[in-house]
Amino acid sequence: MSRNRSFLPYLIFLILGLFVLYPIWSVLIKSVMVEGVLDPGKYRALFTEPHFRRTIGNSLGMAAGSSVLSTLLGLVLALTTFKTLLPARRFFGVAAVLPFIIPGFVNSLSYIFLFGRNGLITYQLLNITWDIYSWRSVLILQTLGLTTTTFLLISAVLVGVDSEAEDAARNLGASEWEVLTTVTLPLIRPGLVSALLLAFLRSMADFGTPYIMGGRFTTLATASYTQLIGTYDMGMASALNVVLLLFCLGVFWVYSRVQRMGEGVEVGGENAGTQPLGLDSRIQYGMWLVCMIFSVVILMLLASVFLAAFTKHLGGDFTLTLEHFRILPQRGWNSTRNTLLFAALTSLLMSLAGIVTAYLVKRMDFRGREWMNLFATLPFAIPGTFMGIGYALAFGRPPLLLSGTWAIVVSCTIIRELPLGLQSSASVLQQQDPALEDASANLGASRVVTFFNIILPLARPALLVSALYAFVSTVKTLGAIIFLITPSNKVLSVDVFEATVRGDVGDAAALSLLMILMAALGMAAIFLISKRKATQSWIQNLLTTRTPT
Amino acid sequence: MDSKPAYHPHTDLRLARISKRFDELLVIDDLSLEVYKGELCCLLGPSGCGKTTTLKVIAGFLEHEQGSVYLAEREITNLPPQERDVGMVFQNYALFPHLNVFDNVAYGLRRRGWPLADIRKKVVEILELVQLSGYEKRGIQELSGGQQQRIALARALVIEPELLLLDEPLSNLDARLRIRMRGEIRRIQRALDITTLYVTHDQEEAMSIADRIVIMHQGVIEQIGTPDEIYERPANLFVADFIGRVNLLQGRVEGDRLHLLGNHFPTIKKDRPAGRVTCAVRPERVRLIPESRASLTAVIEEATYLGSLVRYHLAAEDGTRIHAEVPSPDAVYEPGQRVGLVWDAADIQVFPIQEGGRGRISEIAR
Repeated sequence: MSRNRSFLPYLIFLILGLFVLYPIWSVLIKSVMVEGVLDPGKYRALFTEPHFRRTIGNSLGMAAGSSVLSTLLGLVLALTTFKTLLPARRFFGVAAVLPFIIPGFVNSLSYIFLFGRNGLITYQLLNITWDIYSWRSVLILQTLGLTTTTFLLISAVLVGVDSEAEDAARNLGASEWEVLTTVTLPLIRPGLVSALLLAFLRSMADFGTPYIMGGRFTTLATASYTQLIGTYDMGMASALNVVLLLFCLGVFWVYSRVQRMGEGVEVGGENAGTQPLGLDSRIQYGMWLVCMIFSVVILMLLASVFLAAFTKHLGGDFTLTLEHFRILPQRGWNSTRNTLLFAALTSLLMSLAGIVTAYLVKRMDFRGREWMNLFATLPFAIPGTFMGIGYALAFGRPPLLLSGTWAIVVSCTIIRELPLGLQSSASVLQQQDPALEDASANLGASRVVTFFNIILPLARPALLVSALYAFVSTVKTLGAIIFLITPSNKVLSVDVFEATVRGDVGDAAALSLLMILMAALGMAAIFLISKRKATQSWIQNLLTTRTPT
Repeated sequence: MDSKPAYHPHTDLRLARISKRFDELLVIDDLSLEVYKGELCCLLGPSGCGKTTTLKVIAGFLEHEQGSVYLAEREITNLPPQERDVGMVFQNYALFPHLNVFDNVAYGLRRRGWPLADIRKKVVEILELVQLSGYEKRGIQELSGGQQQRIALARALVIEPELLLLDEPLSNLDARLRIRMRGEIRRIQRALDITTLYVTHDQEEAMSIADRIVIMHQGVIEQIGTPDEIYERPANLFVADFIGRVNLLQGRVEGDRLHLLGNHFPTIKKDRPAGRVTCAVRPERVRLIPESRASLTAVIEEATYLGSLVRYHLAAEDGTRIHAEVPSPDAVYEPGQRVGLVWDAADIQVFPIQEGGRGRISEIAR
């Protein structure tokens, strides 16, 4: 570590101050200032008016419910995939990862196709009508969507469990069920808790699913949007988001504590691997059934998007048609181009910002290093709607008037993905012996030469994976940028969202297919790279961003 | 090869014609072995010889293709690991990181449904035996390597198994601790009089701790015997070469004479093979005498002082390299000096050069 006089730390601080802290500050101010006067009225209303109080309760209850359910489901899927020899277990693993490429609100769209008033299954098949727009649907869809995250997190720790510890338990007389409950599960407990908290965080911040599916069920994230779109009350929208942010930060704080505690316990070692548990066959059948139902539902959701995109009117007229794709040349073209451009720019610039910040934090000594780390990790905990409103407020007025430009959208998506870039680069630097860089310096290379010749090549696989991940998640993103999109910089996710809300489901499905295609290509690339290089741990890192202190 | 009749009166563990393959690779090849009640038997062999696999077959962690396992006259071949009554100490200890010392040791007793009061009493007892009384509340991470080793031993012993299996238990400890711990293991094993199978690749460890040693190589047993039998009367060239240092010399047997390095030696056993043979002579059995008094001479190329002894590298007249180890006070020769070599006929082990079995030709080449 060396003290240096480079301008780089100042530059990064300037960027973080401008694009992280300034928007947060803007929202805070907006929520407590009315026409230049300090006024806590918004918060008073929030905590006294019954429907706002219900909204807070809804958010917390929904997050609690979907995080518990998705953690359980993720656990069952991970156990079935890695700890049994049941047929189709690999297929379950793939199905569990599939929702990664499907944006949450597209899931909602498919869900409506299948189970809605005119739905293929509920109406056509079973001829029942039910009110699909309720908290139940939100809970089901969030659980399905979050299961990808919980499955990956739990799997990562599960395959790291020392198989000798399980053998030792058997040797001491433990039945297979006791091996699971007294050894395997306690060993993966940190992973289970992380998965639960992360799912909680994502559920709290989710905007698309509750907005489309919730009906009269509102959450903090959806209420902030309605406040803005419906009543143009920016102050109330800000206050709702501040409350949402406080909950998220609280959960994130616990989450990073758990992460750090988990570091003490070494799981795995050279015997890490997956050895099947010979659980009782009735338990195994139960697990298999749960996984099968989950996988079939996921596949049906995906298939119904295709069906809706290529048929005249899903549920009524199954004539194959391409008419929904006619909107592509009219409106879709610009959005597709923008989506690709924004996602590509985001992944590129976020990787660059990520590795530079990681290098500063891990390898250089300057004042405020810890703060830089914290500020750059903060966006991980900030809900999309908060960021969106923050950017709209901060850059919707002079001196930095960016509204309506692509720059406001891209800077927002970059900052949102920055924690991932920082984390994956930091973990590479962490594992890499600083002596390599010393050796390079000793042989006469300058700091810049060393960075390009030593650090960058070694970090490349990790960077590539995190860049692709950022690409996929930018393609899918909605909550943050919905506040920033104007007719001149439309993107696919917003088009799909608007078409869905309008009721043009065919068009929405056609546009969704484009998004899914892009996301799928990104994911396929990630898997190809992961197969070739030993990037498993980096993928895990992508999902377990934390504040390293 | 051990050719004792089928059943020894004190046999506790019996392996009968065990075979195990991993895919195409035959890891254990038709292996039979008897371990007697209360003895400490070492499975010794180079890495990859199948010794750990044998242990895992006995513990029930690996399924094998052929053969049977008997423990205390009960067949356990097809029992799950839970029901085998075998305690095991793993190479990396496999202590449960989420449990403290007490809960680790008590784990097996809990599975057996012991009442808590009895568990406490028993755990205290066994911790005393491994000299870690008062460590009950410690976390596993707070223990040193040697302490973890003792806890692993305590955890395996507390359930009072019929058989104790130790898989390279000392390989993670430093040299000094290794010597102390093997003494400890021996003391505890004797105190409990428990039948023990101990896997190691360290011959000094095996020599110092075992009642009997089983030398394994490429999935078969090369020799079974007490430490001094193994050292003094190796059954074949592999054992002679694997245990201790040895000079391997090419010779020829004609009638009752052994031709070696241009000299004749009387053969002392009747069943010696005729023709080309490989002779093994331990370096410490080679004596150096003044040149004038010997018929076999060699030139000292290098002398290495090792404290208690001096190791000489010598070259015989036909160029054959010979090692000799001489106690320091007797070592008075300098490099470049020509000296005489003598050894007793009884110290020469003679092996036919085309012995059956795998790998032996390459052993000779080495």
